[in-house]
Amino acid sequence: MTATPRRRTRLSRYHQLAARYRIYRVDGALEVDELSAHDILRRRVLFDEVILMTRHRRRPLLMISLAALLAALFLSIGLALYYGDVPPAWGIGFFVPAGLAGLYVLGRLTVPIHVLTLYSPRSKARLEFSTERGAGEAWQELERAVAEAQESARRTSQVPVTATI
Amino acid sequence: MYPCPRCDEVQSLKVSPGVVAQESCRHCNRPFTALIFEPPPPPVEVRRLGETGLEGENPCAHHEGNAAEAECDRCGAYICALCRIDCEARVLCPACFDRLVKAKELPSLETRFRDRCGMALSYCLFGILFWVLGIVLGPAAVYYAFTGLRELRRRGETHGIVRGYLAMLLGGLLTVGWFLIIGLMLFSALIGAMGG
Repeated sequence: MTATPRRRTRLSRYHQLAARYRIYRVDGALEVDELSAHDILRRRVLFDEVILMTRHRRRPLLMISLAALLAALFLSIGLALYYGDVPPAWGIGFFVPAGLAGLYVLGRLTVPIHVLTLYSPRSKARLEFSTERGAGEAWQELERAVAEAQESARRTSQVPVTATI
Repeated sequence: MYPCPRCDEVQSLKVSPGVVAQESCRHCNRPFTALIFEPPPPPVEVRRLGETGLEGENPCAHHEGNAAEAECDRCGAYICALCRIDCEARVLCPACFDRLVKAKELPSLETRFRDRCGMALSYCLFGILFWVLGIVLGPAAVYYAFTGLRELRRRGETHGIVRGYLAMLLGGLLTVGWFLIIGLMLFSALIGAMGG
């Protein structure tokens, strides 16, 4: 049996230590796919059940610290080799990853991650964006979608039940 | 009571529903923007038999005193508002709903999947690194890519289709490449033996 293709738009994706997350927008809900190893766990946040939407900025301090340590380590090894009794090219080979790690640290310190979170009584969906503009557009889109879904549910609940068989 | 998006501590918020405002968590003291919604409660109006006074009302198949308001699209049983389950544009009774969920015929309700296309790509990567195992990893990658694409089509999803076809192509190339390498090795060994 083949299902009709559902309209599914990816809004965000991000990584944590043990899992990757992809958030999609479908009709009436957000779907959060948690990928760990090769298993996918899917949760939904229905728009007509959303109770809270928040937005904040964060800097991944753990990743920044690790990258800074790596940059320092590679730089130390590179300097030791460059001024040591080995060909200087060996040391230069370590300067490249040190530079990349340093760029990551600078980038993450100057450009924070924008996080949107939607809460329903049973689940939550967290979206991360690199740019303020992307986060702002997603906020407006989701605020409108949630308001429309809840208004529609409110109108439906006011229609009296008259059907009989 | 609402959770803080940074530290997950539950607390009351000062912001009014429908108004976007800045809040500060009382536990971690860090700010965030909040918007509270007030979702309507799900409407479940259960009518008792004889309440409306209409003649010919049918009772629910599971709750004798309740008036039926719909028929199950699958088994045709009369069901009341308590039993009624609206799912994927169908009206179902609880028993049919359970059966369809177990038979995986309600794709929108599945919550656990195997990322078979991802597994197939991993097998291809291992097969390229350890080509000796290509005869096993190549066909395995093709198989998992094929079943992964079939699952995606069954669920009506399009994300992952490119990965699936890529894994199928690489798996096929890995298998053919393994046979070519082994064939060339055997051929050169044979030529060497004949020449000796």
